[in-house]
Amino acid sequence: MAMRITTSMVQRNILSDLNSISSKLTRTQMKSASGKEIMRPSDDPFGTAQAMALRQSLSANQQHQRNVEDAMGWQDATEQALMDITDSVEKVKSLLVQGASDSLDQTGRDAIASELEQIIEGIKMAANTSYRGSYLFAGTETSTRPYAATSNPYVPGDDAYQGDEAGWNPAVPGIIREIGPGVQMSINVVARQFLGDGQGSGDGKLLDVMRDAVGNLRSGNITALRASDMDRLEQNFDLLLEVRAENGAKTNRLEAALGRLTQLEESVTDQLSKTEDADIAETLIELNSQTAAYQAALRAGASIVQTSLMDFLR
Amino acid sequence: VASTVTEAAMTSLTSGKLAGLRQLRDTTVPGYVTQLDTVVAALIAQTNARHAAGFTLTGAGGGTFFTGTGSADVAVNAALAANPALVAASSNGQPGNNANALSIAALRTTAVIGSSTIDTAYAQLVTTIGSDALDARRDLDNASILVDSLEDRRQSVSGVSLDEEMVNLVRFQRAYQASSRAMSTMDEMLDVLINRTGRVGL
Repeated sequence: MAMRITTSMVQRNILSDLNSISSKLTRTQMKSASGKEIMRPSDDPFGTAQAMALRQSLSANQQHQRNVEDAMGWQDATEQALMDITDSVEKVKSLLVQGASDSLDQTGRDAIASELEQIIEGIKMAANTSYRGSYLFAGTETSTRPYAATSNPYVPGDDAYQGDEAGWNPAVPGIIREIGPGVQMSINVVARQFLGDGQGSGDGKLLDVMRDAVGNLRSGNITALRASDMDRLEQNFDLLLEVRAENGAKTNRLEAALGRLTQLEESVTDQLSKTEDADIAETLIELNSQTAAYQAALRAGASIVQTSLMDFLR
Repeated sequence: VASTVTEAAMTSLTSGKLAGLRQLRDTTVPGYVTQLDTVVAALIAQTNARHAAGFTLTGAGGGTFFTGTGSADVAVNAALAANPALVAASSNGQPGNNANALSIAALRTTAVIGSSTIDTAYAQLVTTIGSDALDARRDLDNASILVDSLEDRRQSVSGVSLDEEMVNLVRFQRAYQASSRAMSTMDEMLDVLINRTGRVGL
């Protein structure tokens, strides 16, 4: 037997159908207004978890990019200072050749010695370069000037290095930037590595050699100048170039890392958008068809609810 | 007489709206809060332990980073928020050393709650709440459909159909009309019988 259909059944069914269509419509409207597929975790619990993980890796990625950019600024400043020092050392080399010449008299040598002293102060100034309030060449003692102000005339010990060896000594971590997940990189160069502690320290580094050369020029000891100072200067110059090359290689590595991070950011952003953003075209079509369905239901409901046999009986 | 319903009387409730609200208040939401507290407590404990191992810019030992014990009262140490120099980023007291900050940052990928990191534990909580809500919504949909179809069955038996009533109305009206017609016919017959009998040939 067919089910008996009563008036209140019809009314109730129409009402509940209208309710379900209009709640779907509201959701689609919210989706198109916010542009988001997932508005609450319950809309798609799995998608929510995925979106959270993606957003986390996105924020980590952006922090790594900031780290790389900061490191690159640091490297650029370091490179600039190292370039200044290289230029000065080249100047010193030619001055020493000049000073070692037999044809020069003592007055000339004294003049060259004075110029050399000025150049040394210039090199120390370059080594005292600071970047964003941190001394570049002082290891992790970033608030200490690597080479303190010196007295004039020079007193042995004035050139003593004030920082630490963090970053040069492999046992002590230097200034580290995390440039990728779990990838850390030491970015600092320690001045003591190539400038040393000055005359009398016996370390044979740049400052030591140049101070010796000044002394030999003033005392007219050309033999020592030729036999030892010029060779040692040449060796130190090679070391300086090595340090610069290493620093340049670090800059290249940072640039490569930045490129990779940018690419990764793009693909993660893309993935995030796919996970939680609404497909606008699809949403609008959905909205249209649901609006049409809602209107049709309203019209059908209105005509069914109003008519009964009464309308046809006279 | 107004009566007070005691909490004890409510514990006997096992179904219905009231029982549902009670369950939400006493079991479901506190469960989420406990889970969130676990995540926050791990964050506080781990960060503080690592922060305390470091040194500030002035070379002093690192203090507390987060105050509080759970999700309700967690906050960045007020002294530290007012003076960022108190952040213990250094692992050996040197101003340029940032190894301790890196160690704290590494918490992001370190499993500290069972085999989960703080991030994944939090994501799990959000997913749990989301799928619970989705389940509840689905249950509601199913139950509504069930109620609707039962109600349909009931209405089908006990409900009023206007069409049916109209048909009956017409039927009974016709019957009434038929009976009246029968009566008036009878009346005419009697009229013939009583008033016109015996007057043949007048």
